[in-house]
Amino acid sequence: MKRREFVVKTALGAAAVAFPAALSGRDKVEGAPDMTALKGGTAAEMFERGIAEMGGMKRFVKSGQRVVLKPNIGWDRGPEFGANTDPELVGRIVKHCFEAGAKEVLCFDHTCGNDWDHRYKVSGIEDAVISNGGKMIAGNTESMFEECDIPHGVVLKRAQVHKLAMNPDVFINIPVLKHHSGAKVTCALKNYMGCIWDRRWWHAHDMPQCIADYATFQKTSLTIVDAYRVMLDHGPRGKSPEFAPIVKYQIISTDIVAADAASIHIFSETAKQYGMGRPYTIDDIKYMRPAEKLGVGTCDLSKLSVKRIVLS
Amino acid sequence: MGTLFKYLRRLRILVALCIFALISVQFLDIYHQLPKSYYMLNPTSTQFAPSLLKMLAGGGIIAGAAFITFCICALLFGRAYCSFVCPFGILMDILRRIALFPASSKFLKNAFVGKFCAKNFALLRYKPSRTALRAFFTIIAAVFIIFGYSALFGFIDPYSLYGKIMGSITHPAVAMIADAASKTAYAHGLYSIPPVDGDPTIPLAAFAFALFVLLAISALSAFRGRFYCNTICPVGGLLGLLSSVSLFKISLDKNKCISCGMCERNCKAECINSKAKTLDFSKCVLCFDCSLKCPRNAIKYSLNPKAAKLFGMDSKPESSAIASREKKTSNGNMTRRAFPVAAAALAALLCTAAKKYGMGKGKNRRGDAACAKVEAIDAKCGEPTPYGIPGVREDKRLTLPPGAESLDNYLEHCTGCQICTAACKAQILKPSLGEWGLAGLMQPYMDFESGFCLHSCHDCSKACPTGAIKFVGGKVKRTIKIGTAVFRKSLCVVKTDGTDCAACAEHCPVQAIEMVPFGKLENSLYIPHVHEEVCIGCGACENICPVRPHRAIVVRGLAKQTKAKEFNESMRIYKRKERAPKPMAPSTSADAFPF
Repeated sequence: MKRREFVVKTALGAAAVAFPAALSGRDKVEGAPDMTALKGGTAAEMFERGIAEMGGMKRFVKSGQRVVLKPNIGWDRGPEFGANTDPELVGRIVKHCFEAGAKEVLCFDHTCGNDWDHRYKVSGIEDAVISNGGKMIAGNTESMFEECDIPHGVVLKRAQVHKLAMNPDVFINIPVLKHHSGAKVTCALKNYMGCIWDRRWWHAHDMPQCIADYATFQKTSLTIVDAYRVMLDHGPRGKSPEFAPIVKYQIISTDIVAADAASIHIFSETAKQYGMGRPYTIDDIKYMRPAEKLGVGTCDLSKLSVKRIVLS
Repeated sequence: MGTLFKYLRRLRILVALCIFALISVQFLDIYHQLPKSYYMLNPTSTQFAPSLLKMLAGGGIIAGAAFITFCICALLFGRAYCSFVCPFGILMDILRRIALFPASSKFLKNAFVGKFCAKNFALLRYKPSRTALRAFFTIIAAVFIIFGYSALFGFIDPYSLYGKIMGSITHPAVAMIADAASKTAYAHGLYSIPPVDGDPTIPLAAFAFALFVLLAISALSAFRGRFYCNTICPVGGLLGLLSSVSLFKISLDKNKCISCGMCERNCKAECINSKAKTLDFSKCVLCFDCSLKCPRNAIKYSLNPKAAKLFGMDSKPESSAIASREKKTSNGNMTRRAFPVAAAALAALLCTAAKKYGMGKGKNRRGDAACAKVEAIDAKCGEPTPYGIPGVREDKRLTLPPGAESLDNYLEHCTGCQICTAACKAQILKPSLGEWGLAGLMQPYMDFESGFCLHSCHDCSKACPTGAIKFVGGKVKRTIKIGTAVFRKSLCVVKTDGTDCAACAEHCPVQAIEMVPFGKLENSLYIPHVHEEVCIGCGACENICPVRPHRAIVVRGLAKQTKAKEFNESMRIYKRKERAPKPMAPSTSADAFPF
């Protein structure tokens, strides 16, 4: 057992060190997959391995660029509830961004209700970001949002978008996979709702279509789905940690719709295994097909090169 | 004696500045960073009228410690409260210093401002006590407290007036300045100043009233020193009454005094008559400024000769002249007796008028009694408050902040000092302008338009000094039911537009809103269902509901707060097949992925 552990660790370490070094400065990486799915280990460990497989952070972050991270920090819940993105994962991403030469790493979310500073703290994300040199930016003041046209929107033609989300050098979407009382499952596409100001308008005007419409506008370099814990019921806020079993998954993808599709599969599978929540299909999640139709990405995972890795 | 006064004066200034800073910091805490230890030794607990109200609200002797201490203090030494502890009095002293500044400043002394200040502000003169007015205000204050019209009492109580200034001018102003600074910095890519949480704006009328109080008190303190304290202030009235029989008194030594008038000019309480060599101790606020200027050291702090006689210690009563109010008022015995009756009658009249014409903007609104659903909810959850908001659904009722216990407790004990509006992290407590009726003017109400009551926050209950909002721990607060969400299907977008929403269910912190299937199952539409006994009435659903002009879900505030039940699976309307949880098999191969 010890020997095996040693081998794996060495391999991991070598991969983590060698890949980014070998691939620096190259945009399109030969042989690097569109999506990496991981299982096993902590969220940060999975990310270390996954980003190496994807071609390292340098594939996405060039030196001197400003990176914007959009984790889910919607609720005043600790990490154990699975309501917000895993803080350790966010911290590790910040670290990798700086290692890739980022000038600045900014992190924000338009939290659900006032009290944003408390939520940043309770989720543990503020600590993780700041200790790695990043900055937490408030997402709850209207002055930070600017009216934008959504040219490809079907229902949503205009939206007030957070300044950080508008034309960032690098935008990394870090949703957490969880149950949602309205959308049923919330993940990467729905995480974009933290980039806009007037969510009420979306709620009142065919929300699934609005989610899909906004995805045509938002530029995203990378989507990292945190499915270390999957909240299966009482989402999106969460009732108690027992509804968020630790299942140790992670999806790193350049295609946001595919990331959601894979996540929904994970959600359904987990729901079946734990007997909590419901095994939804992609068609149950009403924003998926419209998003695919608008050309945001694909729900068909067979169209992508997917690397599946199990960490022991 | 001179050195004693000098040290007492220094002590007075030190204590006053400390208390003033400690209380003010609570109003200036726009980022809500005050530590827990601050609230454990809450400086507002030193306040006279709030501690009396808290004692009456059931807080016990400890809650009334400040009231009892300063009453005893007045009986022993005089009105120490007024100069040492009262923030409104200290504010007046500060304002007076500012007003006097141009008269002594090198640059402004010879300018118009300097001359104007020197001429009008610098010299005060002895004014006989306006006993009638003082008694009048003290009596109506007593009537207001006895009959539970604390909001009206709050318009003459010094701490509450100070709070109104701080809460309705300073707090919003500081918050807006910080917010503007943060916006400017953010626009330039600097993220060091965080924006202020919530919406700090308050109704314009509340601001205007506070501004009026501030301007009035500035003018009064510049022209007449502590005029308010010795004419209007009911605390000054009561403590003055007690201090007129106090054990120790400040007086002028008739043998030493040369009637030069230096003390009289510097007495902001206007209580020294240097010609007659008398000092009206019922008006004296114990500022100890008088002896500072006395060239003969003729001002002394000594045992009251009457008391000395009582204890058999005769000390030449003719040598010290104590203000004798009997002399001044002896000619008006009839008026003196008729007066309290008249004051009480007027106060009673005011109370009745306030009650009659102040039912609250939405009180007795018709229409909701007809709705069977609302009746059923009331039967299950308790009586709602009778106050609504015009322009909002008629079954919407105002809620009381958690910890207020009941409508009566809240309205009877809140003096509208606005400290909770400053403490409210969500910035949803706003001063009312008739929402609670005329008798509840400036008492805060919960405005779910601008936010909702945060589940884990109980800052208003920590801040309230009067017992209107009683302290509740964080854990208890999360279960207090302050209202019930009332859902109206006919307004919900799920029904009207046939689209998904669930914003209310999403924001509910206690799972009180369940999404149940609506219409044909293949549409997979879900509509909210409220579990009334689980709902705590925090207003998150009402705040986020996107439907306008009338929201599909509103909170019906309870007149008596209760404990909410915790949600459990057996309450579910839409039950699913239960499956026993299977332990997850540790997977090591690539088929660990379901795709």
